[in-house]
Amino acid sequence: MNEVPLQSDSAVQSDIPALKLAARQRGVVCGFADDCFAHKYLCMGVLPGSCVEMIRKAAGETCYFKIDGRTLAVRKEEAACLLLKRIAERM
Amino acid sequence: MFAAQKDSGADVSLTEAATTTLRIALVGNPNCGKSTLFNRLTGLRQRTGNFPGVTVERLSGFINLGDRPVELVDLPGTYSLHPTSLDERVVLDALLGLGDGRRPDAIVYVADATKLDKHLLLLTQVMDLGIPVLLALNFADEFAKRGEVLETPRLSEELGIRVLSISARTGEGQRWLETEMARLVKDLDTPTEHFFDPSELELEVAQLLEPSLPELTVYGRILAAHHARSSTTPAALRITRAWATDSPAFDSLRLQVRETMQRYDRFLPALSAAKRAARTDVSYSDRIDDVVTHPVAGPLIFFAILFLVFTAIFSWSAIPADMIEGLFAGAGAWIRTVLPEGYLADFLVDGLLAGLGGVAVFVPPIAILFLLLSILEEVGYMARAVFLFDRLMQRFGLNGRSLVALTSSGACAIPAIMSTRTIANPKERLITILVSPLISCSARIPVYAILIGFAVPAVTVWGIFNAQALAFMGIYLISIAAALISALVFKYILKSTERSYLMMELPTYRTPIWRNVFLTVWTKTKAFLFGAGKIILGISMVLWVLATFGPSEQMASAEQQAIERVAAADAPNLDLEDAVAEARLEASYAGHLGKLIEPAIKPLGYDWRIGIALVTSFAAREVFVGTIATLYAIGSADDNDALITERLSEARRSDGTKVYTMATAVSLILFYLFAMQCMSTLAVTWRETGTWLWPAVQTIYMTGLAYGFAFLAYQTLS
Repeated sequence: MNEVPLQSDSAVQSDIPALKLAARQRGVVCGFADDCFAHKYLCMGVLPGSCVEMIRKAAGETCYFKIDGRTLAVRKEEAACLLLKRIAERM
Repeated sequence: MFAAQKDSGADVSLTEAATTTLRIALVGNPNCGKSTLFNRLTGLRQRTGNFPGVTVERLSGFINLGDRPVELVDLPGTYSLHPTSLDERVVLDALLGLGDGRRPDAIVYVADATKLDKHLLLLTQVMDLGIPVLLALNFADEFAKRGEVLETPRLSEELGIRVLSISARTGEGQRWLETEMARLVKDLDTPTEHFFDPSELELEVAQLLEPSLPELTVYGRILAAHHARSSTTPAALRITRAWATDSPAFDSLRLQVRETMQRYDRFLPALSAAKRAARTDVSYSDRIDDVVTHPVAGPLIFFAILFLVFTAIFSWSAIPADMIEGLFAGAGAWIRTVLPEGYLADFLVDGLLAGLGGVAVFVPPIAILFLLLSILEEVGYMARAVFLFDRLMQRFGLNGRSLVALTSSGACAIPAIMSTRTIANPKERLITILVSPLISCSARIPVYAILIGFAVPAVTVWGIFNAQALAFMGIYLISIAAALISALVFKYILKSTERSYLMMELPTYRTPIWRNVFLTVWTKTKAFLFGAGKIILGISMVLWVLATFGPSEQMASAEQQAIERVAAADAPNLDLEDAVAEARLEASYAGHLGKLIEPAIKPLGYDWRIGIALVTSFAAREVFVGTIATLYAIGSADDNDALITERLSEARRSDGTKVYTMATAVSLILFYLFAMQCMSTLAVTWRETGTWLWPAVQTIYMTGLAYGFAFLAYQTLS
């Protein structure tokens, strides 16, 4: 994990922003679309490889995520910068 | 020879260390249970600031370790030493010694044992500062319940520092922790393990800063280089001058990201070596959140809670407030029977006791509000409210976290303004500070309570509602609307390019720790009673002097004229006393002051007596009732507070018309709703913004609004 994929310039098809997750959908962090938010995420322990689950959205698309077993409230813009690889739905 | 010299040198430093009190700082992530531990270790020995109603930047308290007194400092929770909000900035300044120039001698790092993979980042940063540190793993009880195993000796070995398990909630491991802390300050061993290799560039920068920061480690200097520019402390300014940070090669953010990743890469393996996890989901918290953060049910629950909180303040505080009033009235009556009639008795009863009583009656509502707010905070509810209303608040130029401040403003604007430190964006923080005093605080309740009787009749409308209670609710709604609309205006006036964050952890719901709740209520109420109380008491006494004395010739002639007037009208004895007293009041210094501002407030429907009350209210609003009581009581022989309303309704202008009509009452209510009349709030705004500009802006815009609305109301209603 020496090189952090900060800017996902050549976003692969499967990279989706966490904002686009539907409730109960999950993904694994693969990068960040914005340096400033990225560092804040890193400091809070949201790293590439962290598992993100969308719990629900409040008014104005403020997101409520469960990330590695911890609950986090994140703004629309902040959620848009968190890039994920989708993983299969929970059975 | 050399050896002997060295020894004596060591002796000197040892005695120095023994005489100066050592300082231990508590550091950790938000929600790690740091404050609970602090409360447990210090109890009631906590120290708050000496400013009116304000706690200092950090809570501190003295404890005895072994036989040595140590100052324990509770720093705000932060995720990393790269700050994004003022709260986090305070931590960096304290650890680098940029604040008061003194770094902590040792650190107790508190981490949530159940979230160690997140909570150790900050620890590795702290270790690189070269300050002796020990790691306290909190929530040891929960950790064990979840079936996870952590070998603390192994972790201790990997990190190279002492590690111990505690539970701040139950007190488990407290004795052990205190023993270890005593050992920490005795040995003062600095950590040797490092989790970060600075790049060439960072080493160069550290070298450059060595002359201005000789006492810091390389990492400490690198942190100073990253963040000195955004600080305003004198020490930080010195660093900024010493080193121009414009160099394009120093890409601050990239370097910070590199450092953070390196730290994770090094401590995560160390942690996994010591830990065997058994993952289980905490689900009761999720189930509560399904309801509480629901898009429809969530806001409804919030408003229901708010309604309950304010109902509780009104209904629960009535009985203790009545008791306190009765107590002071009784004490006054007793003094009058014991002491001979004269200035001393008058001063003690009308000056001192009236002032003390005026302060004391606020204790019940303030204590109840802090009690309920701290329970909501402790349980973990406040973070959910922030999540629900963040976007709405943003529309008004505020932040979800502003909600905490605006709600606290319902008790008092002072703690509200201090709570804005967690707002990362300076513009959102400033707007929150500027509009918070518009929310009607508990100090305005007695003013409204007296005046509402004149503005709205006590009738029942729509079958069930009390018209006066509805009016009360209306006043609060107006104050909320005023705060939001003002915020919107400031949003377009103020410019900012700074980033705004929400990114906030929603803590797991927990039953409140009553010790924490009690200590919050205790420290905040104490700060009000002894801080703001001093001002109110002082003003009551000054007011009594101003209303009792005046230019002696004028006083004498006014008294003479009153006696002649009453004699001519052939009125009974009691009226004579009242007439003399009123004439004396009018001729007193206070009367002169009131008369001086009367032309300015006449269009609002106020006479010179209300003028005096307005002037004294600029120190603190609650003084209004005391002032009015003093001004109208001074005349009368009987001293019963319950008669204030009755006495006011008899007050007449010189032309014989009643002063307290519906128009005057509405105009006064609106004036008190909007006007900036609290010196303590202005002082806190000054402290929190660092300039007199914003207190001045607050005074002008709020008082402007007050005058405008009071004028409109009086002119249309009268």
